[in-house]
Amino acid sequence: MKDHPRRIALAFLLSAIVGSAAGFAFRSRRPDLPLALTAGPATIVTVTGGAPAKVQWGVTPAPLRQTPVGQSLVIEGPAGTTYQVTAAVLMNGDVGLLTSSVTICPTLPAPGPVPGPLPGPGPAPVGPVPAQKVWALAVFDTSQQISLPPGQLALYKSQSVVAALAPLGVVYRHYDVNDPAVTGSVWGIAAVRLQKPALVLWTNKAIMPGFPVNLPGNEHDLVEFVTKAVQP
Amino acid sequence: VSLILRRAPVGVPGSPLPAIIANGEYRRLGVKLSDRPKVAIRTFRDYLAGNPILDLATMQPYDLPVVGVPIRNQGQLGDCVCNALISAVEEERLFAGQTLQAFSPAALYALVNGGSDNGSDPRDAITEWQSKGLCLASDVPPDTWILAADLPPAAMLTALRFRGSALAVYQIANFAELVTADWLGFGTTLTINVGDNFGPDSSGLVGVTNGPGNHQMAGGRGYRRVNGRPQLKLRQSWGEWGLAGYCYAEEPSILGQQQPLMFAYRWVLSDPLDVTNPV
Repeated sequence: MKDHPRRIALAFLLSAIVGSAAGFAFRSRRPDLPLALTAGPATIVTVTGGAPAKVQWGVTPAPLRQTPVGQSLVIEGPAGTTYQVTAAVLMNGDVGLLTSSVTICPTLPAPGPVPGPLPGPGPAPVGPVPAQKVWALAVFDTSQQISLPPGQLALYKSQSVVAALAPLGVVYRHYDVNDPAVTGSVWGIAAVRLQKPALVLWTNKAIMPGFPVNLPGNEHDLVEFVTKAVQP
Repeated sequence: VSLILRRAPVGVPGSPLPAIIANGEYRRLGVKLSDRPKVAIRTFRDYLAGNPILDLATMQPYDLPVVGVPIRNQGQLGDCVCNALISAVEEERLFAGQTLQAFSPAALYALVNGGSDNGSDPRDAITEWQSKGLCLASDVPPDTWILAADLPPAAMLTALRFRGSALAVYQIANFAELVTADWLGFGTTLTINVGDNFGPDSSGLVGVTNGPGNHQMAGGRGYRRVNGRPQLKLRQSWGEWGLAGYCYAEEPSILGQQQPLMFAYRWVLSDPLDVTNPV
């Protein structure tokens, strides 16, 4: 039951997708719509209604988003064709199948590099803050820190990442691999096994599915990654 | 609580500031201290584990202002060692994502000054911090003179929460290591000579002195070169003295003394009750 709202949210995303004319990519009407996936994008299982020329998931570029995370489904095919798309989605470790109808629209917005965000009232909407507390735990082997890429080193020294994640209900902490909090915890041991600067999302006394992962290379990527993982 | 009127204000060029006691000077000063074991401190070379330190000849300037760490004011107390250590601890807490706590240098000073306001040894401060912890400023006011025997038991009990971890401190051997630690994001503390030419110039650079006293400061997360001479930014504990609480110093100011003591701090506090701890 806990996954139900997320499935609804994703189903809404899929139903919001419309098409464009043949030869042109079409995108979600809601490029700002956040996805609540915890383990990467959905996988297209079946497409009925004909063979589309191209099917792929894409990520809305950050400058065009109204929320930190946006994802769109891109299908190319003959104008007027309706496709039934079934996607497999991993949510909280549980695989679900979602189906939605997609029609290639014969009337097009002018094809451009990427459409801009739809006009909306006021400032950018912010996704709902999860009720549960989530920790984003970065684990460094600090003896190797001098050889870290500049982005990760800057991430270590950053003071703004804590503030950037706080509105999401995420507490950012970082540790050394030798810290007793790391060596004596489930999340810490899992992070150390990765043998790289690692990131663990921890909530309800459990590691969130798909973690630990390699620590993103800079603060922007880290915030985006965590946001994508925790937003319903 | 014993309150003692202090001597002439510190921080004025030419004023005495015996804020650090080097090894062996306790007896000369008549200070009765127990033979407390000095903490075994790993070296920064140990920490680096074979990684090279920065080459200052090619090091690019940086300035990484630390937001949220208060500039301290030791007033007329000789507790610069404790102010510097606490400043580094506060900075590391912020960087690690922990909540900022206001600590009391006066309480730590009481544990390491042997009952006399003649300064203290940075290694004693580290030892006491790791064994007894740090009192909160709300329990022991920061700018007051207090004896160890007068520290409230409840405050000392709270202080246990804020003990430094055993792996938190590394001793630094030279100026290049000091800059490397500062650039890598360590909190640092260091001794600096204080004498008759200590006032900073308009650029914030403190003079090179041969004065009798010395002083302890925290690293300020900044580095620059002026006329080819590397200068490290420092955070001091005399209020807005210098560049709004900061100054720059060159290598001779830091190393040109009998016993320079420089330390780098990392992962300083486990703090089992911090609200940001994962549970």
